Amino acid sequence: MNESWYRSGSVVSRRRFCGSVAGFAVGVICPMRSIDAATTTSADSEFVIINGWVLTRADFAGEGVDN
Amino acid sequence: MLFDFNEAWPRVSEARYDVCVCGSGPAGITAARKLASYGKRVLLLEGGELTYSDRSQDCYKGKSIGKPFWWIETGRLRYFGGTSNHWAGLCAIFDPVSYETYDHHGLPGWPISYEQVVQNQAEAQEILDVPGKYLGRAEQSGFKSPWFGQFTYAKSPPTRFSMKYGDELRRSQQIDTFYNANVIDIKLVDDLSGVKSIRVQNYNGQKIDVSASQYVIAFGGLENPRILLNANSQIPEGIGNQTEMVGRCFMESLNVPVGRFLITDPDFWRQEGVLLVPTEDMVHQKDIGTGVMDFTPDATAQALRHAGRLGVLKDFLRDTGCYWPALRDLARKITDFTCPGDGIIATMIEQEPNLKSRVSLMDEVDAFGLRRIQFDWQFTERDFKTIRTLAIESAKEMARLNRARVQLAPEILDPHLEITRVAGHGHHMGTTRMSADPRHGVVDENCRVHGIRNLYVIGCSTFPKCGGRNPTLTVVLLALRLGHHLGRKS
Repeated sequence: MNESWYRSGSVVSRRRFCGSVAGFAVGVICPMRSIDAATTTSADSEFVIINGWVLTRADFAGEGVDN
Repeated sequence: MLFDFNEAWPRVSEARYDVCVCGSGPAGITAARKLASYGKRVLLLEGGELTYSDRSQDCYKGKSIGKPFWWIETGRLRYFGGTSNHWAGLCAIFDPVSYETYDHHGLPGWPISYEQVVQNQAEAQEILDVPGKYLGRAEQSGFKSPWFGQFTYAKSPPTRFSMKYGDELRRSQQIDTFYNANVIDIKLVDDLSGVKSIRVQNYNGQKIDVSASQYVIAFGGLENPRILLNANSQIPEGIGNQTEMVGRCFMESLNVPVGRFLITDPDFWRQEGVLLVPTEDMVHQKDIGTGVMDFTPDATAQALRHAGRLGVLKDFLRDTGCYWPALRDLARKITDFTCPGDGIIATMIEQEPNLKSRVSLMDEVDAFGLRRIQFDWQFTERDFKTIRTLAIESAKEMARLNRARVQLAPEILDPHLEITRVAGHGHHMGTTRMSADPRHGVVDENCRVHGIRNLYVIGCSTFPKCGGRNPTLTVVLLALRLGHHLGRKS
């Protein structure tokens, strides 16, 4: 839990999880509303697990695609 | 020729048979046909009728005393064609890594090689109506991972053996098939080195001893050990059970709900679904078993859509939950569902052999006086390590490659929590396991029962490792292998 990269940016991009499949809206789950120690179960240099979601550096502001 | 043993039972003693095959499922019919192709005279016995009957199926009742197990009666069918009458048709070959030397808890793995098992693959695929050259794992673009490869099943229609081979067996001059013919005992010669005869009974109570030069037991993963343990009139512990291995090391393909996922790259998911299997490097480096992680978007929702009388209600809750997020969590408390673009990860994970996971006999008997099975399904810490590792590492690879994001169940992430939701896939394996050394198994490399010169067992029960894949193709491969082996014998 020494890594802090997942705290440094803004909250995980919502749009990253949104899109469409066959015309249906996708993105009803936007898992990250806040990041705190209680919801972070593990982290290393590449991945962090928050609320059970396995996320990467690219999911955080500054490195994501759709931020 | 095809005969009803209720009527034609005296006829069974009129012919001389080279091989008696007990059981008419995929293993038994495959072996019988292959032996006939070598010119052998074959007696094929089926305890059930030509179609389903309660009185036959009742013989499969048993009791579970270990981890919850629901497949004792419903996971198999006791009539002509056996469990091929309701299988789904998914075929797979085990990865070569499954055949590597293995010795956890003093239990070695396969005593034969991958090449020895798959040598009749083209023939097995023809039997199961699987077209083309099937390789198991296929490298597909879009998922370049050092830890996982993409996997595809071969699909059988699925082949119903009774329908495909029924007419052939009726016409056969080499194979005499008797249905309603229940094997109730195996009699050994005086020095106990071989089988002298087997006792067969019909539903009218008439019994007869039938003889052949060789005997093949092909009753399935739970019944194979059951008949060996019940045949205890000359050897109290049962036939082939001198090292107390009959019934031990029961394995299933573990079906564990590890989590759900949300796709992040719709273009990638235009394919039917993504099935990930660990690479050999991962199996070695992590010291785990193998398995299939099935990421098929929305699959469960489709399955639920027409599920039973509550299907309409489930559809309503799903639609409401998906498009009105405020109600989603509430709806999920009533029924599990997925929304378009997400899915529940389905798993088929290899269970390792474990002496404590076993089939034994209870005192209650069936209509033929055979003691029913008592079933104690147990797991090891390594089984849970395999489940957790495959789930976590596949979730990481999905995120790293930006194909999906995975939310894992709390018990997967926290090793202090017990993984309780473990089910099977109806694959009953390992209970008469194959081993070079009688101390570690029941049959040898040729499926011959250790210490009995003319008794063979085929089917999933001979698997010393279960490979984390659907087993039917391997069952047929091993039945063909035995057919060639016995067929070449003079």
